[in-house]
Amino acid sequence: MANRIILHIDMDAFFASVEQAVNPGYKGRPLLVGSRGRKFHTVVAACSYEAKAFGIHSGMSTKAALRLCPWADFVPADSAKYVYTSDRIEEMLRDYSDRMERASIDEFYLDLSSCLIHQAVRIAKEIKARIKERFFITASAGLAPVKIIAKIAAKASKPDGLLLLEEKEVLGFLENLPVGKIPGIGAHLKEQLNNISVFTCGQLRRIDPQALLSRFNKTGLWMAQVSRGEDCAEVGYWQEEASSPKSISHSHTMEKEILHRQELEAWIRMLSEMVASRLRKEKLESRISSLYLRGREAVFSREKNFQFPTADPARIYERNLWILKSFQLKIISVRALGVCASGLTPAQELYLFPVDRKRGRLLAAVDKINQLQGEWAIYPAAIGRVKN
Amino acid sequence: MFNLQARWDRPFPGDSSSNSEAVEVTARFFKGKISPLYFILKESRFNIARINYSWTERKGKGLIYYFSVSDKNDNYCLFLDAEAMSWRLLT
Repeated sequence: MANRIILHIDMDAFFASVEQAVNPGYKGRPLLVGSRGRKFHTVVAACSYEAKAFGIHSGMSTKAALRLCPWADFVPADSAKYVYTSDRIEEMLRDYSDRMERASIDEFYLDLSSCLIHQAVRIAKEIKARIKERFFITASAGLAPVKIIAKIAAKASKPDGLLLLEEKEVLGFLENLPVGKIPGIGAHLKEQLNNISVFTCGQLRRIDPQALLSRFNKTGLWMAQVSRGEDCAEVGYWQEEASSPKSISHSHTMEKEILHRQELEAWIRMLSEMVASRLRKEKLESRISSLYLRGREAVFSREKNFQFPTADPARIYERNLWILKSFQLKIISVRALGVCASGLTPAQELYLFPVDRKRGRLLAAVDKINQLQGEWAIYPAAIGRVKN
Repeated sequence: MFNLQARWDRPFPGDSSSNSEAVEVTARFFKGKISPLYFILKESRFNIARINYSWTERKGKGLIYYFSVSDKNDNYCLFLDAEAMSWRLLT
């Protein structure tokens, strides 16, 4: 941990800030960015700080958010703007270090270990100023000897802040930090910790790591490390090729419950197409299919390992239908569903039968058309009813 | 790294089903930058006082350039489809 300086840059209310920059009329006003276009039938993907002041947060239904602040403005999310802005910020950050990692669309790590502390602080200030000048949005920065502490520091300094935690200050900072503030400790884990009278990182640190290991397995050891301000995770190099994914999934939450099997099957086909398209883009095939359904009262989730890997959407769809049948649903009432492909292996274009070769050529042609004309320029008629 | 499938449930602006209309735009193309100066809509001229934000989006092999602009009174979103070389206004 000695001599490392990690900078974490975290954009403040990213989607909402970009929307406020795009439309200055929203500046200084409570703004909700909905994950979909229908104001009263979606969830809050992001909200401005003015909306947060009313207790609104991401993930809340827009109905609930508008009850808290009926005069809040609403815009549907338009990821093209956010991805474009994130890409440009990433390009900007490459000026500062070879070791730069994009942790998510609005979070970046830089390893500034080759700098002195005052130089790292100057770089953090400069990055914040450049982001503000070019994109009219603010970012918070955390500087610390390890990645996770830098992330916690950036969160603690929000909005538009900068927090430097030198090695000698880390334990003091963590002492009274609620365990729920550690990224990776969700509501369930927090409750389990609270049940054993652990509320702060300081209390967590005083527990024997072996006791945490036996109670929480690997997560226990990780929590023990974080509570001591230790984390050996390195910041990656931005030139590195992104590592191959372990699974590829797509999910969707409905505006209205699906009550008919035909419609449900069309949605499964749609998500299977999306998963298969990404598998082919990554030149991968999948052996394991998983299907997840959430209804009014119950959640169904199952995965099945098949003998042959595939990236054919029709096959993935058939496999998911097979899983759907195994749920033995008597009544269809689905609010959300997801399709996941795992057990990924590099794609092999070895076709045993001519019909498979033909199918492979057809999928390659479909991919080419969509690549030239834009996503979903061509799609199977079976998903027409949900696509439109 | 990110695959947000931005448009899977929404049409591209300019496609028949979306809300946009053709406008006549006078723009400056200088040193690789595009700056719309004014646009004419239904025989009225709107002078662009400020470009609030600009971004691009890939549509197949083509690129769409978006500009959020303001005149004295209001905000507008113009876009240039580089493939079709046509300007439209999002409505």
